[in-house]
Amino acid sequence: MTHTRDSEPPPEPRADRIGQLVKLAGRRPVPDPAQWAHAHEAARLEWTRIVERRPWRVTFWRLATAAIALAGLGTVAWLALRHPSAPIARPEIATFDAVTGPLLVIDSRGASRSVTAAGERIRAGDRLETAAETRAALRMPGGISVRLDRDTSAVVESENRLILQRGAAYVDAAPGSGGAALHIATSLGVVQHTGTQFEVRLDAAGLQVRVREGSVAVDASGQRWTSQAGELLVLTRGRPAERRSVATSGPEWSWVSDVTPPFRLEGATASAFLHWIAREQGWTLEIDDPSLRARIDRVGLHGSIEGFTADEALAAVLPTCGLASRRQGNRLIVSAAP
Amino acid sequence: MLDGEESAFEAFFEATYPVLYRFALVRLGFDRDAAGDVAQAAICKAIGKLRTFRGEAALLTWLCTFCRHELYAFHRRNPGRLEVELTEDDPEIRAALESLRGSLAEDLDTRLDHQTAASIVQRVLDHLPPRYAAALEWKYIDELSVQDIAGRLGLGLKAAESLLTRARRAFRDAFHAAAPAWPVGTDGRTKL
Repeated sequence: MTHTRDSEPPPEPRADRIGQLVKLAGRRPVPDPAQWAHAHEAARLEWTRIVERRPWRVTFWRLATAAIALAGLGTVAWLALRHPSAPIARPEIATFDAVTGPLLVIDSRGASRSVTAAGERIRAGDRLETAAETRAALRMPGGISVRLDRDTSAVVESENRLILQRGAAYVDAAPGSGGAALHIATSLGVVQHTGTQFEVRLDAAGLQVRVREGSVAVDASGQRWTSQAGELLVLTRGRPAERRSVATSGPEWSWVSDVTPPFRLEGATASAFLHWIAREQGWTLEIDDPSLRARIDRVGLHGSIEGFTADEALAAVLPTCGLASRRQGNRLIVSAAP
Repeated sequence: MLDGEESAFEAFFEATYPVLYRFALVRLGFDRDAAGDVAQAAICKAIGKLRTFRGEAALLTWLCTFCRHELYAFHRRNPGRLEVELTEDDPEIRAALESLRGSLAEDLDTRLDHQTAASIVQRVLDHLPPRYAAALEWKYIDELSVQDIAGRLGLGLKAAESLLTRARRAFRDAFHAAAPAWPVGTDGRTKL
């Protein structure tokens, strides 16, 4: 016999009370599809990471089988195989160049440690979590500098792959720096480059890639977008990609300067100092007098600019070399001191 | 899931992400964007530490500890944001449930703090097996017939009736466990 709603027996009073409660509560809210997809991708990245990093383990049955097979080879060999292999040591692949406050480093097995100073090493698979007041700079193989903004979570998966889970990462890969290109993987796409400066930011609004120098390629949903210096590419689920013009220096980039790795002034040339400061600030260096170019290559510097802003450093260093500078928009123009 | 089984990951995500989302939602003043972010951060952290889960606590309870950490971090990052104090952990949830006691007996529609009640009932549903929770919602919110529910679950009619009975019992027990004094019958048990 088939029951229909009409033919169903009346509910018991207790069931009816449950029904009243459930009805009163209403349907449980669910994340919207974009949130769902975003979270799914992020969770998948994390899952892939732990699965790929799992230490090799020998199951009991495999061990038993191996023991039987190897019985003829002697007890010593059998005992040696009975012990699970030691976890594979994860290589050290990066170093903190600068940190502005405490941050957490969590390894792929979940053990965490707090880092408060530059110099600490990072192993493959470590996840870095900056706090609300902390920024950090990492030195990757080949001299690539990666800066992490506040409230950022990122996994240094390997020497050429970083998974950005939340927040922002700025990459400075000077042309000619060694090592492979660094890939920044996010839940919305993978950003890759060759020799450039760019920022990748992942938040609820989507993925934003701002290019300061050179160009980057973003692979997402089976498509590839390229972006040049001065462009912002915005990828949001369910919407077409957006491209906008952005400045390559100025307030949008100022957080990067907060965590600039220290420049060793002592023994450096004026030329190295000027090129460094221009690169850090996104300025174009112009030296209007050709004879001056040769001169600054020979001028050696002494002292320290630790803790100085860019302007303070210029004001402190250039007069001692008989140089002066002025800014015109994005240009840093250096000339002989009057 | 730790062995890299795709279907296990999908099942885990499907079963837990919406629960964490709702957990965060009621604690963030129903800010859907913030709840999505917090739940996402929590599930990623939990997956990262999945190897440390030993089963001493229920999986959802364990996952919710990550969500609490993320909520705490969220409020630290956004100090001006509304922070809703709500927890289903014993003292608070019991107090909340007990506050509903007389109300439900008299007039559900007029006396309940609707949002609080809804949150609590939804949390109880979240702790039931997913098929039980879905069946109860289909039955009482969508007012589907048992036959329709059977169709959705891919069950026969009798099996669906049986599942609904078990779902009601599980709901009643979960509610009773959370608020043993609400509303009390002559046998000293919750009258649901």
